[in-house]
Amino acid sequence: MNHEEAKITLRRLLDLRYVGVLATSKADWPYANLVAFAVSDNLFEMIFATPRQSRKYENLSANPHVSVLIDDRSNDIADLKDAVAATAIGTAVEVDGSEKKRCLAVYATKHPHLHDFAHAATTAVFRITVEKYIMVSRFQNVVEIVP
Amino acid sequence: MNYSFLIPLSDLDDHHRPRTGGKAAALAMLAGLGFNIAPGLVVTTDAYGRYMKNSGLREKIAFEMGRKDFNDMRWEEIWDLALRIRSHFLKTPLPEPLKKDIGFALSGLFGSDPVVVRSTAPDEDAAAASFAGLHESYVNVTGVEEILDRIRLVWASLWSDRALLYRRELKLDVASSSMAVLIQRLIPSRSSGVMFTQSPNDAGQMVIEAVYGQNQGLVDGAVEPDRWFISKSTGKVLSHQAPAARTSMVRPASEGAVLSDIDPALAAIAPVTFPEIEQLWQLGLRLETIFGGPQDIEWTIAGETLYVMQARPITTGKTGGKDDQRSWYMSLHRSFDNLKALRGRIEQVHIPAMQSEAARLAETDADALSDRELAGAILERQRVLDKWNKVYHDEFIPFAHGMRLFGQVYNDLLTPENPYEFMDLLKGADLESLRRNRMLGQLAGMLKSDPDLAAALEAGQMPPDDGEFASLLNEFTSLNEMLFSLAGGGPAGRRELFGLLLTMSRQAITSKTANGSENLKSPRELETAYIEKFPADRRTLAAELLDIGRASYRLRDDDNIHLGRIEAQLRRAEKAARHRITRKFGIDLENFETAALETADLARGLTNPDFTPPESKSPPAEPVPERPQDIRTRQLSGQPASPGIAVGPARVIRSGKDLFGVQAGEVLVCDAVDPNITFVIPMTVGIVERRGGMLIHGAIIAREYGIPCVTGIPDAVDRIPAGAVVTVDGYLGLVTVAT
Repeated sequence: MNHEEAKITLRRLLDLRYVGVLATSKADWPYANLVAFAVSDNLFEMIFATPRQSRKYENLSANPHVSVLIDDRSNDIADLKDAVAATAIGTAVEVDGSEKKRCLAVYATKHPHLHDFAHAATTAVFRITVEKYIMVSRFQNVVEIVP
Repeated sequence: MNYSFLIPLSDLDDHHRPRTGGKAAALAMLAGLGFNIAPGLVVTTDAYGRYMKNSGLREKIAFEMGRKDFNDMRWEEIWDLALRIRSHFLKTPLPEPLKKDIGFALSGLFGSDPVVVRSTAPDEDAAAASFAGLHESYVNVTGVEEILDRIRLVWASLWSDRALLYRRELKLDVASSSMAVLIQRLIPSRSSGVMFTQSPNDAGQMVIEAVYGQNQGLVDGAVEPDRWFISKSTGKVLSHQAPAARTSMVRPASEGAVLSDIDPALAAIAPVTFPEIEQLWQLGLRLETIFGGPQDIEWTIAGETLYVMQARPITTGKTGGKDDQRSWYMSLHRSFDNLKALRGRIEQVHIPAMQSEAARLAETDADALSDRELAGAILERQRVLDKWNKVYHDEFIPFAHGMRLFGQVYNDLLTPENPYEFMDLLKGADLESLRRNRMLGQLAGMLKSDPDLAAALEAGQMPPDDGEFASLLNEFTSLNEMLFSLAGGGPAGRRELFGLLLTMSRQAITSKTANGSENLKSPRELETAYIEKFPADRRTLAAELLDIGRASYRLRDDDNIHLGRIEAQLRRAEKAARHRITRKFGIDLENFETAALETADLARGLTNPDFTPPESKSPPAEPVPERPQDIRTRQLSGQPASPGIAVGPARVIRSGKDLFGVQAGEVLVCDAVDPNITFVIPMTVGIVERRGGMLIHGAIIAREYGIPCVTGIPDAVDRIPAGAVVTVDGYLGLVTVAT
């Protein structure tokens, strides 16, 4: 995959996948869970929502550095050849006010069915500023994509 | 008998076809109609499926197939892929229950009788039939264990390089592909042949080809057949083409089948009689009626009995447009006998002729010729080079298959964990490029021990004509004009060469020798283990195979050096022409790259007073592609071609001149390593190459020097930034770029 194809592949992956694996940590203990995400047009802002009482919220409060794995594997032997995985690395902040409104608009485009959840009083909306994506294809070809 | 895994031909009917393949189903039907068919059984696709599932092979093949996009693979890489997959089959035994089921049936039906083991793929009566010979067959196999081994090899041939080349047409897919195996009692053939019930040139004619002995000789092309054209309507013989001489036949040996001399009494007469031709004609007509169309029939005669070995619809065999080179790739598979003959021609005829041709051309001093003579010399040199390029394509490249033939024999016999272990037995030959590199090392050593001489060269002076250095330098440049030409030739080229030698003399070049093996066994131990695997009466053959492998390995590299010496003479004449045209017309051609202006243009420029160089051919300066700032390559996956780990700054080679900037400790990143450019390898710590394959020049030279090498990285020179620190993992085939 050349550089141009890499960008196209990343955009397609981020557009088509609804959920990714969010990794957070607290006191050196990593924690991974699924989150529904959406990205900005330039791909380097990632939005997700979580209840404030969740473990990931607690972790994020302690350490905002996160990574998110998004992949298109199908648990088939062809995954070795066909699956693509991108890991976003960045910093998450809880947004509010007009910024929250803007982020929710991005989120709603991809996840209209999560409207009630995203707007609930107990839900926090986070924006990850992605420093880079590390994208793996064909098992071991790796490129880094930065803003 | 477990009818899921095994079906005797006598019990097989058409509803079994999806599990037994078309070949077996057709033979079973013919047996039911009273035709003579050798008794046998089919190991069904279910057995293949069970083997693949229980052994984990399906996942291993998926992994191998997924390493790289097929569209980016060269034929060498496809060969290597097939070699690795075959190795997986060799190393993976049948699951015990399956082995027991099949073994029990084989023992009951054949006892210790010899058999033939053949593929019968489910799609064989459709797509695969168009590409006959993709899968393997084994003749004269005796004993349950031997037959079980051959069954696995027939299964493996579903993934042969030939099949991989035609993967689209065959719908070759890890998840769904399958293969059945037909095992039949060996018929002790007196004569055999093929018959086309419709001639490709005349629908009213049939064609019969016949040889003495087993059919294998005819199918492999090792034995030239007698050929008859007969009237389809009357059976009358219209013409008979006898071979130039009936000299050989294939007959069963103690193991397998061998090509042997024919009895002189038999050689005088055709392999089939007129009554047998009439019998074959009638067989052809009946099979056409039964199968509803023209047939391609394999047959054999034992005693007085005519047996049908195979019947399938005639296909055109057309495999693609004129740009489809796959049939050429297929033709690269050569038999042992063919390789022996090729070697004789290459070593005894072609190489001496190339050497004398290069020497003859070198005798003419291009600078001393008139313009007209120089124009003639350029055109002659181009013709000579074209001629040798054709020989290279037609004979030298096929001879490279000798390495693969040896590798396959080695792997089949020894089943090594590393499918490339056989390379350790081939290397260590005194390659031309290694001899050249030793001379370079000697020259650099002289500079190191003579600081005054080094300082003089550094200051742009020439070495004294009568010194030892100049004498060795002259010998070096006359033998390696191509290297000199890469440096630009003339005084500029000489400066580049001195620069390289000075660099080499200043840097600690470790003396790398042929010891880059991960194998703990010495070549001597490997050779002994290999030879001892053969029975005593076949050890001469074993040694001959090894010898062919070694010659193939050595010549793979040397051929290019010889070819380079001829090409250098053309480049030298072209350089003289550029110089003159530049002076004469004030058109600056001196900086034109060789490929930018056709040779014929240069010849015209020397003789035509109104010459103007064609504008369109002005060489666009090799653009260095703009590297996107927002995407960085972190890791590239290729093929491990020489084991080891190396870390160093990348020296990205875009033109021949870049080679002269190589510093010790760098990793060479290039498009393709040619033996003419491997003079820098001793200074490098690793090699990364776009071209893929284990047996390409880059891999060969890397293994000789024990330098880690990864091949088959598409766009390597565009994706790896010059100077970036890269790690070359020659075990896994990975290149990691520090970011």
